[in-house]
Amino acid sequence: MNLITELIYMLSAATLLTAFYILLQPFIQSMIRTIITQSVVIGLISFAMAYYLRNIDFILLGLLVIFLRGFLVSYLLERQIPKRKELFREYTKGTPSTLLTALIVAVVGIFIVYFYVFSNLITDVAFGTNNIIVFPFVVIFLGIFQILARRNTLAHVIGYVEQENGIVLMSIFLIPVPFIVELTVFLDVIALVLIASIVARETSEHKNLEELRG
Amino acid sequence: MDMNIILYLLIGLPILAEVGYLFNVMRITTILSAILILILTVLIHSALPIAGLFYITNFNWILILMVGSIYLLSALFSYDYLKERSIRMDLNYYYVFMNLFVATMLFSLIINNYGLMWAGIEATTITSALLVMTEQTSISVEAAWRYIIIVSVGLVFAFMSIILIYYNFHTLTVTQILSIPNRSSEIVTITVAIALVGFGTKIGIFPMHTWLPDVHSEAPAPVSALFSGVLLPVALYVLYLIYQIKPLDSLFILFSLATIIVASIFMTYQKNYKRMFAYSSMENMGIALLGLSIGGYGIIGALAVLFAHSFAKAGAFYSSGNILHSTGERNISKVNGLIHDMKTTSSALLLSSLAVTGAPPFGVFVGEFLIFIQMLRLHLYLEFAIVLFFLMVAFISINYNVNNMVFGKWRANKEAKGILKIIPLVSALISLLIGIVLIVVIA
Amino acid sequence: MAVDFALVAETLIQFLAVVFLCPFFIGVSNKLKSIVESRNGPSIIQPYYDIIKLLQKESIVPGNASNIFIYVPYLAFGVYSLISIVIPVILPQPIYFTATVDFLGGALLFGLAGFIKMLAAMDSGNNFSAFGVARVASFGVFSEGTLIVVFFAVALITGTINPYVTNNFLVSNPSAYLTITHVFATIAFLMLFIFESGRLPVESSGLMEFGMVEDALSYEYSGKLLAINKWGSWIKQYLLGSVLLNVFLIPWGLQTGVLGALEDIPIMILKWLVLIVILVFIETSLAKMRLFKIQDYLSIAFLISLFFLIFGLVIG
Repeated sequence: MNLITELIYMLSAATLLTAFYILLQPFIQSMIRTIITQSVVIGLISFAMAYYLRNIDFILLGLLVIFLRGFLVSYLLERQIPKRKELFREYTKGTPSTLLTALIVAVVGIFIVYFYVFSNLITDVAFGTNNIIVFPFVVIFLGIFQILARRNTLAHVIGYVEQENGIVLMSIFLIPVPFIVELTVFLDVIALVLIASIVARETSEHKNLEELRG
Repeated sequence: MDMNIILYLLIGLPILAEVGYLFNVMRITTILSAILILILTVLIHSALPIAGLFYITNFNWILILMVGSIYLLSALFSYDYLKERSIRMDLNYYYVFMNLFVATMLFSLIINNYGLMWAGIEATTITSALLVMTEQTSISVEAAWRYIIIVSVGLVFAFMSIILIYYNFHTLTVTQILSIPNRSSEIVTITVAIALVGFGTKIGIFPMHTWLPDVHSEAPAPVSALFSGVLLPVALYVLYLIYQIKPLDSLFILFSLATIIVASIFMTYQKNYKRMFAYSSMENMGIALLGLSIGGYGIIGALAVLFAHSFAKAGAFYSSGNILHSTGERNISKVNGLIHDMKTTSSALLLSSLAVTGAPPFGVFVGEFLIFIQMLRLHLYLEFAIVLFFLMVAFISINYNVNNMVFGKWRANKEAKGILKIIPLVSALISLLIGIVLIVVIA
Repeated sequence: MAVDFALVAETLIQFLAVVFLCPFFIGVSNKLKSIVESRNGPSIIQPYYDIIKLLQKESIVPGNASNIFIYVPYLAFGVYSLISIVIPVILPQPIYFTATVDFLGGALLFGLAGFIKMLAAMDSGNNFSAFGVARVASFGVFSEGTLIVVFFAVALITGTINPYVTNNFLVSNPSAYLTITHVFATIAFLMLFIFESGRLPVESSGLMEFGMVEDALSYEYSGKLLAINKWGSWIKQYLLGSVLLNVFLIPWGLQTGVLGALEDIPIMILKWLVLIVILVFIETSLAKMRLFKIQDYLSIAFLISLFFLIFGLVIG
């Protein structure tokens, strides 16, 4: 294990920590800051991969992640927070239970998806060792869990952005898809966040409606 | 003229129509662009199959035709309908988003690249989300929200399958991948299965269908028609292209059977007629997926189902829009005796509900018949019995409810005006016509 | 059996250094904290004065307390002294008692000491003590779990739970020091240590009854018994901190042999200064937490340790 692979492992672990932090964070503004951090960390992973594989494409991808995902998306989200930004929060409860459930989700993500499905099938990855694929999977699973566990609109959108981050991370480790596709995907996500934030302006919490049952 | 230019124009026309926004004539430009798209579609038929930047075969040509027709019908229907409903939203905005919606659907239909197809499907979510909440009730906002979140989460998985396709073949071009001789490997199997989950969310395949009834019941009638009539088939087409990489027929048959069963059971106890029709769309998508996965006659059958269903279901949604506006009721049990005052609308409703449930002379019936033949040829007797039984359940529950709505004791209702009552009837009749033509051709 | 005098000397040096140095670190940490808060603060050797003062005072025992109440401070002190000679807190090589327990045994001994202290506090019959016991027990669900899982993580990296082998392994394999499991086990252990040393800003170490956690256990103690109790918990802090330093944060730099054992004392002081600076920084920069947030805090530490333990298994 040399230093650069170790660094990539560390940064991937940092994306996981941000995912857990977002899951626990009741304050929306802080969640948005954390999603910026996560995107920047993924950009850094991309830079590290560029150095590791001596491939310039990754630098471009990293810049794309940092600027489009990290700053533009978060700017769009942050505009939607009502007044007294720092106080806008969702009332969450039961940190230990949420965490333990998230842990179960993540472990299921690791064992079922990785051990039984991917570890034997995907062997030739850009990163070299295929166990790195675990990280994007767990980020995607935690993003889904974030959407399930929360009721706030912006928290849902952040969960979605987190999943997309997981997908980007996965494509960085496996094989970067063609640039034009990557770019359209980024633009799509931005547009989706824009539309979602327009919807978010209409409603901030979600309840079960009698009319939409069955 | 170069074929690519025509195809660029095909996608570009709805976007060009946005110019009308500047002069406040969105309605006219939209109808114009719909008519031009239909003309262009007919024109390119002689040049099929096209494979280059775009990929068009007879299969998706029919889907393009469907998109163009429903686009035209909805564009005609929307203006008067939304005027009547007194929507707060600026109708020009509505048309802007509708054009974008159609453009993204056409884009995902004809592009020759799995990745961009995914982008197109994701873009349909973006462009259609605001259309769902045109009426801006709190329920429609919630429905739009569920649509955005559930479908985008599903599409994340779809993109995972796109990455795996690229990982496996180092290209995303559809024609290149489909021409590789030995495509089958374990990783491809997993890719196709993930794609079923991902794109299945957009199609409304059983465990991922939960957004579908909400959106169809809360969106305004012309938007529901677009959703059910063409958006679901477009997503189905993309899934079918991925299915062709490696046909996982048993898995796909399993999921389509589950969809048919669940949709039919849910249909039996629906109180809201638009929701009931939404489950009927889900059931028809299940049948089409079944047809595509068994191959042979099944593919022709599936195409017939999709083609006829899009018109029939558009007719059903248009007429239920009229009924909703006239009575102000979404509840089936509170609507009855429509035949007395709303003769045209109720006959359109009756015809189209017969059509979507596969009553004999209609196109859906012919398609289902072809699928059944193929199932029996493949000795899928158990599946055949299951499908037949649940189609019967769906047939009975929809037609029983519609009969109660149309007939029964008199109640004062107001018939829709002018074009609003003609369009549902026209689309129901087109579906009938398709059926008759198909029967004649086959005979 | 021949007595190995060098070994005896090393054992004695380690034991005496632990017992007599631990109040010094408390003093240093208090002094540094007061400097950061721009006050003068007590002298560095104030904890020694406290001990001496308390030892000269009379002990008062609650009327309905049994003998457990009286014996437990001595017992706890004894258990902590035992731990201090079985793990590498000063000397990185085996001494007289080292073969007896490993990391897991150490964790269990910590648990034993905590348990008897809780027992004694319950025995005192005071309401506030019972309060504190309830809190300590409910926080212990996660803190003890974290402690054990962290040691499992170390065992996973090094293939042993012998603390001496672990220390040697980390010194000779710098790449193991950088593995994900080790880094996050370190973070989890640091979080645990911050809690165990009462540095979370929840008034857990003050005399306010409503915010008490650990101090509620010695609420009824006075005089000599209180001195022993306090001293015991300082030893505990020193032990946990030294494990954190020698196994997780800074495993390098320890000398061997009798002379080496003497040299190790200033080395440990230097290492502790680093740790104290980190702790004071964390302590003074955190905002005040509600008491029941401790549960959340500890569950995060538990999660980090467990999660990255699993990751260590997968990534290997």
